[in-house]
Amino acid sequence: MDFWIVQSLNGIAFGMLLFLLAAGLSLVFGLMRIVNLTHGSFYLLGAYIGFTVIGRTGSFLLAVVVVPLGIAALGLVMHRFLLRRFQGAELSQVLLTFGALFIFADVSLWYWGGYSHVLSKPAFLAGSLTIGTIVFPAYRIFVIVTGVIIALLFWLILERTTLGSMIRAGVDDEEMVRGLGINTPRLFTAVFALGAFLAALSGIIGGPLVGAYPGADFEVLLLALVVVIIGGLGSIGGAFVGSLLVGLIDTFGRALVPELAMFTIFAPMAIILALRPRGLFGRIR
Amino acid sequence: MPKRKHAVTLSVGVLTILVAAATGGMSRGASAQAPAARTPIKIGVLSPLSGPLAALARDVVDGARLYVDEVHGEMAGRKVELIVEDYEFKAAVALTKTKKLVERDQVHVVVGVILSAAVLAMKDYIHAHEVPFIVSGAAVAESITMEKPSPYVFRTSFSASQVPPPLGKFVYDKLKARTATVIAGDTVGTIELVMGFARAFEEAGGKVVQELYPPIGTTDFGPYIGKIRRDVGVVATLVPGADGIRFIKQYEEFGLKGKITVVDTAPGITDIAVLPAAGPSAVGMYAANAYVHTIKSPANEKFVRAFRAKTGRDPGGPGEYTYSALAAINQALGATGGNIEAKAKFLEALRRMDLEAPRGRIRFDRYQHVIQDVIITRIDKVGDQIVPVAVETVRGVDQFLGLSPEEYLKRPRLIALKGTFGK
Repeated sequence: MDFWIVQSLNGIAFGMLLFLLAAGLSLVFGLMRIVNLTHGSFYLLGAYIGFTVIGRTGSFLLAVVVVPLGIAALGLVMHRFLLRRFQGAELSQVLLTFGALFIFADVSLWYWGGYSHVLSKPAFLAGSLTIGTIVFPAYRIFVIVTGVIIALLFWLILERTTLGSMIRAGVDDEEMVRGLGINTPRLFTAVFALGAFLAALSGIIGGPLVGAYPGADFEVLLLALVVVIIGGLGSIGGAFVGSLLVGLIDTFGRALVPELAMFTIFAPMAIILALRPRGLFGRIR
Repeated sequence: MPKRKHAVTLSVGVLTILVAAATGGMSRGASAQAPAARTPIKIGVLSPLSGPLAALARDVVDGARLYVDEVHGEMAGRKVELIVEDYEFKAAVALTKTKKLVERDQVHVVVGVILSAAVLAMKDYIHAHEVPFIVSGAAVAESITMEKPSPYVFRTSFSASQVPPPLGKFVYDKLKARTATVIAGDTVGTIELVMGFARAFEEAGGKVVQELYPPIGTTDFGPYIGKIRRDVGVVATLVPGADGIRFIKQYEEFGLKGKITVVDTAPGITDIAVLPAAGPSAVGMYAANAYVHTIKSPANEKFVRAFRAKTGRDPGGPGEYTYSALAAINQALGATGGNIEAKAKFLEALRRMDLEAPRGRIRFDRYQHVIQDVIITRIDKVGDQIVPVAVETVRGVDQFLGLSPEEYLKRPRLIALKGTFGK
């Protein structure tokens, strides 16, 4: 029984981490119809810069607040000056993000070296919680709680604010939104920056678990893409459900059928693509 | 007129190609006979400088550089040049970089390499191109110096059949564990290490009840730690480098530290290059080593002092193995008057290696693998430092565990034992 509880908690924690990784990507695709491949770099830069900030100041809180804002600014600049000029040419934009991914990867390798850095947790989260016979790391509980809070915040923003309704409208029909007089280029820049913010935030929250190392950007990007495909492009609810699903399947897959460990993330994706290509909650036609 | 122009261009082109081929060939031939005193000796150092074992990879390069510094950049009167390449912990890249070192840089000998799969990928090429290669990072798969042994491949690190078995016996006899779970990264070198432990542990009377193989690069060990049987006597591991750091920290977070002892079947987490990052989570572990920086001998204390002065860190295994590899090359060059180009004589001299290395006296066996002592350590907290403390030393262990090569080779290979325990 303990085994099932521990592994379920593991799966949910991993799922929440995946949600933080995937939400930004799903939103950017839904609204802008481009797969932002630099998403992985925003994660990695968030994790690396967070590592440096925590190393110099010892403050996890400072890192969590300041670094995502900095990366959001980077995303804003990148979209405003690099991507926006190709508005309408989606392929060019994707290629640009792909190029940026490689550039950031090399810059990170040059500055932080080839080592694997695991971010330090804040001291009060470094211990374990003991409930009966189960000992579970406190930090993973924190990840679960953070994921749920971010999901709720997202839902609130999307459903209850003007910005949210603009985004939802843009996902459904961008031309009409432009026709209504809404400044879509500026909206896109804002959403792109938001996506970067989330990616960097997941870099710091995920840092103590996943870490920052060369190649993490590609691996995280892959995971985010899988979740977004399963959950459906453009849907935050889909990203939430998709990530929980992937988190649980992957964890139980590794625990019960370890020979298939490399396959457990991609199997659900393959099934969804075969049976329901738009994803579970996809809104893109 | 155009036809004539055509002919002229064509003949000029052909002539150019012929001249280039001739001079190219000449220069290659020339270097084979160049006066030995003139051209520098080029040593290729292949190390996974980016990737999960980057901390250990750094030691490989620093060990080589330290030796070259100590001999003032010269061996047997010739300048020595190190050419360092990063193979990113990928076997395919290792092969590509080897080709570059051999064909473009024209190295005389290659040292380094931590990943067994990389050596296995390189072996055929190395053999075909007749390049002396001293495996000096780790690359502990037993087959490297056992099956289809190549006269060009030597190893100064250690092997999976050599270092874990004494620990298997120690864990049964001294730690009194009766059951074990083995967990290792899913690649040939680390699998063989825990298999070497498992076989020795069962031969001593113990029982291995579980085998777990998380893929290299696993970040979340939760599923695997959740599977470890809570009634097991010991957990024997080789989760390498950065993965190992995550494993041992998560092991503590899931409440198993202090409840079930963890033993490193070789220096994965417990190598001093990695240990500081693992920190207090690693205290209480035992490990089997071919080298520890705390060995008390004049040769080692001198080496450790020099390494610290040069890098600010204590030397881990790969640092010493590579340092010794360069010392072996120097010794062989001394015996052949510096003539590394006379390959057969150089290899012969290398086979006769007899060195007072920092770890102690080392020689090669008939299969060109090093014979050495195995040191069992416990990780203790001394003041505010996390240090490995030697608790037992087994002298003069070879890769065949005292059997004749023919006898040993009759047994199943370690890699074939994967999946056979706990049934």
